[in-house]
Amino acid sequence: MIDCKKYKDMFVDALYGELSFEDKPFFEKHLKECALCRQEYEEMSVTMDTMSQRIRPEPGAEFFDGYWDRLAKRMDKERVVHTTKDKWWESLLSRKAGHTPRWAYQAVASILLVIVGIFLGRMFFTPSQGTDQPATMAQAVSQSDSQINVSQRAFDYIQRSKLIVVAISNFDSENQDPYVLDFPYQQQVSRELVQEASLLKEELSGRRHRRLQELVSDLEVILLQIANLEEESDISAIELVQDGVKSRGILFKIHLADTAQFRDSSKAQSEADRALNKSKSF
Amino acid sequence: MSSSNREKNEMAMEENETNLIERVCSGDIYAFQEIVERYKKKIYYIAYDIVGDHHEAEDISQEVFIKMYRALDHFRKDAKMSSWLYQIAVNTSIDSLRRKKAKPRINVEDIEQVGLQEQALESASPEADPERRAVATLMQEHIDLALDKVTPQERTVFVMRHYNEFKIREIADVLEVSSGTVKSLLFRALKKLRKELSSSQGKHRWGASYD
Repeated sequence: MIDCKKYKDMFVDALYGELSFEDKPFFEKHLKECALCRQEYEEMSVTMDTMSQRIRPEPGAEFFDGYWDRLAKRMDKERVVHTTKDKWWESLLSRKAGHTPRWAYQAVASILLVIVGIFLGRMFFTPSQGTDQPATMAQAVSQSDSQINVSQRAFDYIQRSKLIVVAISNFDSENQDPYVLDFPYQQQVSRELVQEASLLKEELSGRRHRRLQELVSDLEVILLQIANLEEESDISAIELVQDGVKSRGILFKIHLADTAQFRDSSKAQSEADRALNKSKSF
Repeated sequence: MSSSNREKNEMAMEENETNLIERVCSGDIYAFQEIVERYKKKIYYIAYDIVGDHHEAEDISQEVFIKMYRALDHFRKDAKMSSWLYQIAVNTSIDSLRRKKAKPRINVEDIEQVGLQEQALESASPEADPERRAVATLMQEHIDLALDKVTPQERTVFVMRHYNEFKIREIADVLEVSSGTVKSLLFRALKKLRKELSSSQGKHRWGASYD
């Protein structure tokens, strides 16, 4: 019975495969000899098998892709920190408030005043555009223009990100020097792209742009990692980024987006050609 | 990837995390975003397994990152960031579970939860006939009920080891207890689960035999 107590302490280790190499033969020998322990162990093993059949509902990729945006909104709302582009400076200022001299605030305030002045000037003193079109037509054109603009900007975003992602993916850590990647520049561009991502994702919301939105989210994560790399000579960190690109299938998704864009532009071109031919025939 | 490479990567990640924390402390929100991207899934799943509810798990996981952000200035530089985050996640989830146990069980979110589980079952075995699927749904319910019967601490160590692949030593580090304590909590959890499952199996015919 004393022996049984000693071996029961090993049940959990044995069930989860964490029993030490030295203890294993003694434990197995005891189970062969002791029917009571054997039965209890088997019952626990069956319990574990049953519990392994539990199905955990997956919240889906969309849930995790939009996670940061939801958290950022909550942090803004609860005034934990301002996570949006403009308000982020306030958070920086508030954390550094204790060390910032008064003249710095005054300088920032005067720069802001100048910017507001320029903005108001442009708003009220720009010559008005021709308004020959009826309002509804103008609205329709601007709406479809904005749709095209969003797609176009998304493709432009993807092309700019592609240059960085391809450069990192093609980097051969065994035969190449990391300095060939021109890291300071890549990181600068990555930061700019990360800043653009939130707004672009918001504009891409809706079924029509779902895939583009997903790709922009994936790229945002990878670009963020690149922007946060500490040292260009950190090979293992570069390999982590390369793994991320591979596991998310980002290059394949970019290829799909390129194909879709080529198809759309060919379609638009052939429609334009057809319209031109029609007008010539008249 | 070889184990030495993995160790190197882990070390690089830890070094990188110390720098990330320093950057967050100096107001760099992008560094904080990267921490969130790295840990969001793991934190969400731990919270989900402890409280068993999707909306609550998301709420808890967000709370974990907010608590972390607020307490970053007090973070010990020699400590491991992941263990610290998991500890906040476990404590916040246990608190939430205790509050939930004090409330009546059936509400709108529970009904949504059943819907989510049914979807998960359907995608796990789309070919199964309705009768088999009904048995499987029943089994899921009994598993959830059995998990509800163990204490919050027992449930926590069980879900961390069984569903989130933490080693016993790692759980001990996160909970700041000895490995022996973790083992005895796991042993007690398994015994209670066995009792619950065998009694529900007596009432309905499903799952493996306990004879």
